[in-house]
Amino acid sequence: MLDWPAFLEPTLRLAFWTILVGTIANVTCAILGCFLVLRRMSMLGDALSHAVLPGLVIAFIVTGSTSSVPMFLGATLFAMLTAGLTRLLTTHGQASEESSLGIVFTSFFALGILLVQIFAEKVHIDRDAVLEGAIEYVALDTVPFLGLMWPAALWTTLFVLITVIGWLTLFWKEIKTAVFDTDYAAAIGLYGYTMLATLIVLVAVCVVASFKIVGSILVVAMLIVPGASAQLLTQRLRNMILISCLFAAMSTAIGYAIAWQLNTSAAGMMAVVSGLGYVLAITFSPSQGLIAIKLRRLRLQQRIHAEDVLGILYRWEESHKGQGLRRYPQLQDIHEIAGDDFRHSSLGQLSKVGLIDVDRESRYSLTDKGRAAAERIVRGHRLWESFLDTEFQLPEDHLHDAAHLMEHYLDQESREQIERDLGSPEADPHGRSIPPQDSN
Amino acid sequence: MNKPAAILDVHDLTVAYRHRPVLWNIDFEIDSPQLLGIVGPNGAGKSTLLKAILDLVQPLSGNVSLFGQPIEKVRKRIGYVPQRESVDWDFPITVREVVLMGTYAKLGWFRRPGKAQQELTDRCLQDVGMQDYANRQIGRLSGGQQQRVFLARALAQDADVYFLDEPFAGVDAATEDIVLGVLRGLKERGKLLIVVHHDLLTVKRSFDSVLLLNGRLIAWGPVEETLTPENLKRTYGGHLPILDELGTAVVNQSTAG
Repeated sequence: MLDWPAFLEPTLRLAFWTILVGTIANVTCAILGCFLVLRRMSMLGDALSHAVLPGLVIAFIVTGSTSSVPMFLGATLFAMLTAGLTRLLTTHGQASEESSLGIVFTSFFALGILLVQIFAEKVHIDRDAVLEGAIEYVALDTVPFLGLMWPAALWTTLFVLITVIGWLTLFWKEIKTAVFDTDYAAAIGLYGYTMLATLIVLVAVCVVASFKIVGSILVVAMLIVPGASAQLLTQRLRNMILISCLFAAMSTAIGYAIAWQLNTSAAGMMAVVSGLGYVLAITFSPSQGLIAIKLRRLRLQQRIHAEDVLGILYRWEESHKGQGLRRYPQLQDIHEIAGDDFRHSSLGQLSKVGLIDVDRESRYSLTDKGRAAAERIVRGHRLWESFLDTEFQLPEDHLHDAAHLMEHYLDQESREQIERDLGSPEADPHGRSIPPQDSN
Repeated sequence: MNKPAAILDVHDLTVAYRHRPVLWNIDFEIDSPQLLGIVGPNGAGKSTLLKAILDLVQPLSGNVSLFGQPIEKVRKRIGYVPQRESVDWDFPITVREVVLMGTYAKLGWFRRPGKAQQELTDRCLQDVGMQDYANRQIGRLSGGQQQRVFLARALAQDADVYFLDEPFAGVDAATEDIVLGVLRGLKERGKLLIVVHHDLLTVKRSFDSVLLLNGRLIAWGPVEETLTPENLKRTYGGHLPILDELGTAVVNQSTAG
C-alpha cells in the first residue's frame, strides 16, 4: 500500500494513484486512437488486444514467470506479426484489409487459447482480468524508487506515453501527411507506409501496456471513443488530439468516482462514462450535433416559408395590376394560396425586418426592399423552370413544383450562370416574364 | 552507352493487381521536358501506370529510372497529385495545412516549416486562386476547389517531374482553365508533366505529347502524329481477350510456385 502523498488520507491516496495511472494509460490510447479513427482502422485495437494472447503465453512458458518485460516483448512481437501478416494477406491474397485482419487476429487468439489449455497447469490467466483489467490493484503493486514506493504500472504506462508524445513531436509533419494521404506521402519521399507502420507498432505497444491495467474492453473504448467524440467538436487535427486527451482524463476520473460510489468495476464505469461523453458530443457538437442540425433545418424551414410569402405577394401584384387595392392580397388570400405550408409567424417576421407592410384592412404589400427580395426568388424560380424545360424536356405541369423547391437554394452566382447558359431568356416556359438582373 | 540519361525511363513494366494483370510490358523513354497526357478507356491501367512508376504498387517485372536513378533516390524531385477520391475530405485539416504539406519533403526530418515555407504556401494558394479559402476545412469546398488545393500542394513541392492523376475530373470551367494555366507555366519552367486525362479534346489542344494506353502501350509520341483514328480505334475498341487468359496464367504460376 502506498503511503504518500502524505497530505492525502489513505483512501484518497488510492484514488489518486489509480486515477493518475488510468489517465496516463487512457490518454495514450486517446492520442493514438485519433489516428485510427481518421484512418477508419478503429477495430485494429480490438484485434491487437486479442492477437497478443499467444505472445503472452509463450513468454510465460519460456521464462516461467509473469514478469512484465518478457510478457511485453512477446505480446509486442505478436502485435507486429498481426499487422505484418494482415498487410501481406491484403497485398498478396484476395482478401480485403478488413477480412485479412479478421482472419489473422481470430487465428492468433485461438492459438493463444489452445496454448493456455495445453499448458493449463502452469498458466493461470484470469478471464475477468483480461476483460476488465486490474485497475483497482494499481496502487497495491508497488516498486521502490528514490526511497519512496511507486505503483509499478506507473512506469510502464508513463514510458509508453512519453514514447508516443516524442514520436508525435519529432514526426508530426510526416505522421500528419501519412495519415491524411499515405500514397502521396510515400510518393514524395515522406515515408508514408513506414510512418503508418510505426503508428501500428505504437498501437500494439499501447494496447499491451494498457491491457493489463484497464482490460481489453476499456482499451478498445479508449482507443476509439475519445477520438470519435473529439472529431465532432473540431476541424483541426491538433485540437482533436488535445480534446481527446481531455476527454480521456475526464472519463477516467468521473468513471472512477462513480464506480467507487456504486462499488462496481472502475474500468467498466470509465468505458460507460466515455460512451455517455460521446452521446453528449454528438448531441451538442456545434457543427455536426443533432441539436445544431435540427436548428439549421428549422431555420431553413422558416426561411422557405417566408420566401414563399414574398413570392405569393409578388405574383399577386403581377396578376392584379391596375386593380387598385385589389393589388394587395388579404390574409385569407395568402393562406389559401400557401395552403398547408402557411405559417402565420412568417408574416410577423417579414414585417419586422421591413420586407412587407400591412394596412388597417389587413392587406399585405411588399416594401421596396421586399419587392427586390421577392424579385430574386421569382427570378430564380422562372430561370429554373426555363432550365428544366430546355435541358430535361419535362412536361409543362412538372416544372412548377421542382422550381418551387429550387428557388430557395439558388444564389446570385448560380442564377447568373443559368441565365448565361440559357442565353438570357425574357420569359419562362409559361410565358411569364423573368425579372431581370439581381438588384440589391 | 554514351547516350545521356533520359529524364524518365520506363523499362518493360508489367503490373498485376491481385490476380488481374493490368499493364503489359510498358516501355518508353522521355528525354525532354513536356506536357504528356496518358489517355485510355476506363480500366486501361492509367492510374496504375502512375503508381507503378512511383513504386506505390509492386510491378511483376520491369523497372523504372528517373534522372538516371532508381525512384527511391529521387523522390524529393517528384510532385504528385493523386486522384481526388483517394483521401477523406472530412479529415480535420485546413486548405493551408494541406498545401503546406508540399513543402515537407524538402524540409527533411525534425524541421518545422518556417517563414519561407509559409510564404511559398501563400504564393501557391494564389497561383490556383484559393487564397480566400486558406483557413477552410477541406471538406467545405467544391470538387473543383479541392482539385486546386491538390494542385497547389504539388506546386509547393517545387519538384522537377510532376505526376497528376485525373486533375480535370469533375471540375468546373474556371478550375479547368486554372489547372491548364498552371501546367503550361510549369512546362515553360522546364518541368516534365505526366497527366492522366480522359478528355481527348484538351489533350489535342493543350498537350505536347500523348501516350495511348489500354493494358498495353498502344502508341506514344507528339499529339498530332499519335492521335490518329487508327490508334484511337486500337485504344478504345480493340480488347484482346487472350491477354486476360495469359495474364491469369502468368500470375497464377508465378505466385503459386
